[in-house]
Amino acid sequence: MIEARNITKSYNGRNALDKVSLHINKGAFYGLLGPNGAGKTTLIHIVAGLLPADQGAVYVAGEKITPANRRLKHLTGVVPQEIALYEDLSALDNLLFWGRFYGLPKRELKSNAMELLELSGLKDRGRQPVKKFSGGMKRRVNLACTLIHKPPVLIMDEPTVGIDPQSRNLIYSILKAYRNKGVTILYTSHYLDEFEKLCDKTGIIDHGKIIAEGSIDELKRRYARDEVIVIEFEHKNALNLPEMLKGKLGTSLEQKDGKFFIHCRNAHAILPEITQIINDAGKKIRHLDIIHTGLESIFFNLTGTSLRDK
Amino acid sequence: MWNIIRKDIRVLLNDWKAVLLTFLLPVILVSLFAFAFGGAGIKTKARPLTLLCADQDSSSSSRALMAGLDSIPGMHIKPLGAGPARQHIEQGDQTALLIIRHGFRDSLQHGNKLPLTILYDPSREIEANLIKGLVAGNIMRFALREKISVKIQQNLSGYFSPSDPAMQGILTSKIGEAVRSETSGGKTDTGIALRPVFQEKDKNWGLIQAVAGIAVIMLLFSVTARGSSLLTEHESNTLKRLLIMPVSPYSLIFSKLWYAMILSMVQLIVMFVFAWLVFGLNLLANIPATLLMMIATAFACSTFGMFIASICHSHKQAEIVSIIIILVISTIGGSMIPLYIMPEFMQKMAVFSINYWSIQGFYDIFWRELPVSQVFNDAMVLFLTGIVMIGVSLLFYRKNIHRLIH
Repeated sequence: MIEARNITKSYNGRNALDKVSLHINKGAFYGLLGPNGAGKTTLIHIVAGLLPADQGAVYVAGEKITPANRRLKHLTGVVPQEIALYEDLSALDNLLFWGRFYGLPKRELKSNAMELLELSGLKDRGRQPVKKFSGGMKRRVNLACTLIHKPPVLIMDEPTVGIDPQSRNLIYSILKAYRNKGVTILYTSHYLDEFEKLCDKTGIIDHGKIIAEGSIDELKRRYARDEVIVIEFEHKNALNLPEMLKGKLGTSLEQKDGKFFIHCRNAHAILPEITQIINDAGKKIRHLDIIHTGLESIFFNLTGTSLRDK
Repeated sequence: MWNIIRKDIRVLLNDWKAVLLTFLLPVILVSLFAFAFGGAGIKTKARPLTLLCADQDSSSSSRALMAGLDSIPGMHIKPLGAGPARQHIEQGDQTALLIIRHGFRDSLQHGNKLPLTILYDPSREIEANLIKGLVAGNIMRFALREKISVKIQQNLSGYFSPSDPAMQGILTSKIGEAVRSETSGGKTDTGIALRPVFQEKDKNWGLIQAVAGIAVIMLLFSVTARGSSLLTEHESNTLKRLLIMPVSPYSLIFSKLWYAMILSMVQLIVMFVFAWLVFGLNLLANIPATLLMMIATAFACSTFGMFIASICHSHKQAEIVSIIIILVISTIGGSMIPLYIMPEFMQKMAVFSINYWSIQGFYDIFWRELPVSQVFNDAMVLFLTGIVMIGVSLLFYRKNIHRLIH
């Protein structure tokens, strides 16, 4: 349904995307995971027909996407990263406004809008100005505006960022319902659990390249190894940790950029012993983090950095 | 306390827009007003006053009068037939016309009231009075010189030959003394009739200047705000979503233009109807011409808003740039100060402003009562200005649109 072939895009000489290719089957839910600046939004913009690629092409339903291809824009619904609503208009008016661009008959447009308000849990507040809504409610309207013309392809750029768990769960249920209807979805997010909950296939993007791709299980099998404890001390080189841990915990340890990375099977099991050793040495920990087995450790193992470091 | 003052100064200096508004704009306006009011403290070339002259007497005396007037510093006499000259005044091209009627020479010789009339454009009354002051003093001296010269020559003609050089020297000296003596009493009435070129009843020059001048300024300010709403769309993230919609990116910018056009028309209609109902502006005098000028003005002003939106990167920047440009073009274009009191070079600069063509158009309709065909030129200039601004705006828009998305 969506196929990107060797997409390259650069800004001011810096490669935002470097020969990115991906293939999303009809009805699939494809997640794109990567840190800020990895190229996710640029790829979304190109797939949405908002930006032209420097090289390569994107095809939706076999037809090449260009910023001028208006027919294809009828097939896609794009949720931008930012909340893009007219705050002085009501939720219903926003839905009707964005829906009119697709040339829907008046009655169908109104019916779709009412249906989406109900689906978004905003039926009773549909006539209130959006500016009176919470962040989560705005996100729900933001999504509903994309669904107003019932597109067979959805392209979503971090649609759940910064919202309350209730709104997020509601959005998940809407997305699952659309996936079950056979809608093809391209999705980016910062929340790792969303990929496990929603996506059939996940692509990991870093520095403008897709570095791994597959279902979560496949990715875990191929790339997830150990959990990692990341420790940073108040004073660099304050402690000869490798020497102190040598042979004690059956762990492997590496040092990079002033941080210690302790690879282990079960971080929580060995963490008390490690902190005890550090305390006994009278040293202070500035930062401690655990990268669990899952997408986070997959990303770590692929790139050598944690998603949160970026 | 000093800490807060120092912080505020740092904040101000870090905001180039605020610095521009605080320092540059007043400097620009002070300079423009100084030039407009004759270049206070600045050496500018004074604009010569042009007086059209219709010589219907065609005598040696009338020609001598015209030569005398032309020799007045800062005065330029332009001979022309009475009909075309009057047309120039009516169309606002020239300020005043001196008509030297038949019998001027005879009246001069017999000491009768001189058949002289100055017709002037009542919208330039100050300039016309200035011309009359200069002309009247000169004519009085000319008339006295002629009168005394004739009398002395008549009285002495039996004793001396007029071609005697010694006699000519004495005559010139005596006549000069007599003229000085006669004029020293401050008596300057030469009987010149000063008449407006058309009747002023039902017309109020100040009202037309106020409505036309202010209408354009207000329109420029309001449509710039509307036009730059494209930047507001960008800042509120809706621009990206609009560009995702199945419409051409150009339809976005043109829809903003249409919106500004419609609002501008409504705004102009409200202003002119108010001036009609409350102050008695003769709005119904020439409805087609009025509508033409309104559409042309609304179009030019709306494209100006579009132009500002396309060259600026943010709503705030558009606000600052538009304030500076609008105040400058409104000053040089005659919205704030009537053009005729400005020096010549500023009057020449005025043609580069929307205000000038719009105000001239409305003057032509309400003051000079010219037909649509005469107003057409002003309207065409406004339309062409608008088309050029659309072209430039589209170039910038195409260049900037992807930057706005990214």
